[in-house]
Amino acid sequence: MKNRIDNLKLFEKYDLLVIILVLILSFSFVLDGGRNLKKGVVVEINGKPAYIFTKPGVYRIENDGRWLMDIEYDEKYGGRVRVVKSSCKLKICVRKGWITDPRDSIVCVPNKVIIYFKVGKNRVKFDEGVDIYTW
Amino acid sequence: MVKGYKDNENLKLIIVLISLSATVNFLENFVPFPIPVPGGKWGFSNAFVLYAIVNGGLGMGLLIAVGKSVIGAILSGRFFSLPFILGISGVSISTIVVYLVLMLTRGRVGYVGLSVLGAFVNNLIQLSILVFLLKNRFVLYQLPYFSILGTVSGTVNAFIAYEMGRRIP
Repeated sequence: MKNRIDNLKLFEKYDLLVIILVLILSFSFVLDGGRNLKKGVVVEINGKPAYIFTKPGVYRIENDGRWLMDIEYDEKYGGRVRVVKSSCKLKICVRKGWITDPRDSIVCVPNKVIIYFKVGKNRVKFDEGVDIYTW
Repeated sequence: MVKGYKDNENLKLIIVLISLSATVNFLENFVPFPIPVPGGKWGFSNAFVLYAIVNGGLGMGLLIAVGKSVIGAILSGRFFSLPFILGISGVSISTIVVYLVLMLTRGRVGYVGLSVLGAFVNNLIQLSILVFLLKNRFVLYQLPYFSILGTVSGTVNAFIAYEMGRRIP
């Protein structure tokens, strides 16, 4: 079989179909109705929930006694959270700022921490709904 | 033997393509990317990979893909780092997928379609590896953002690869 195509055009009629399919497939991962009431914040460390905060405040996040970061949770916009300080090098999780969308999240790869909202029953499942991860 | 570099001309072309794509790959580190991800880039160096797949076949495409990832990572001090592993996995698998689609459709999908598909597979593979590493499906929620950006950069890459195909004899 010839392993190349001669005179391939820039745009063919099937290209549009490919683009539409790609976008549909991509969005199918998030079209699960994530706009729900936030009922606190979950902090996962190493893939396991380590903290759940339901009251506003600034909280210290540790793993085996090692300080990882400080996060702030308040009730504005129905609940929002941000990383105030972090032990990671690039501080992208800090620069991410406040998140308010229940599907949003903050992920700090160096510290293996994921922060996301705890949401109501029969809404977004516990393991769905994140948005941004940071290095 | 890998088809596509049986003579000196093709070998020279491969070296030039790897050099150019590695340079673009390195320079992209300094171009702002809207989503803060490990080694997040626009992926314009993949235009050379796309050109190689269409005009040289799978072997040539994989050579450019792996070559630019390795040299680009060495230049930017990220060799064997997480972004390097994500990048090389994504681009290698997407190269194979794009080649298969190219062969199966026999020219009915053009440069733009192949490029956008390649960007999608690249992103899907990278996010899937992150899902595995972080043990959390949440990161897949990045995919729509990446796909929108991938459609933009994929179209630009397609245009570059198409023009290269027209101009390189």
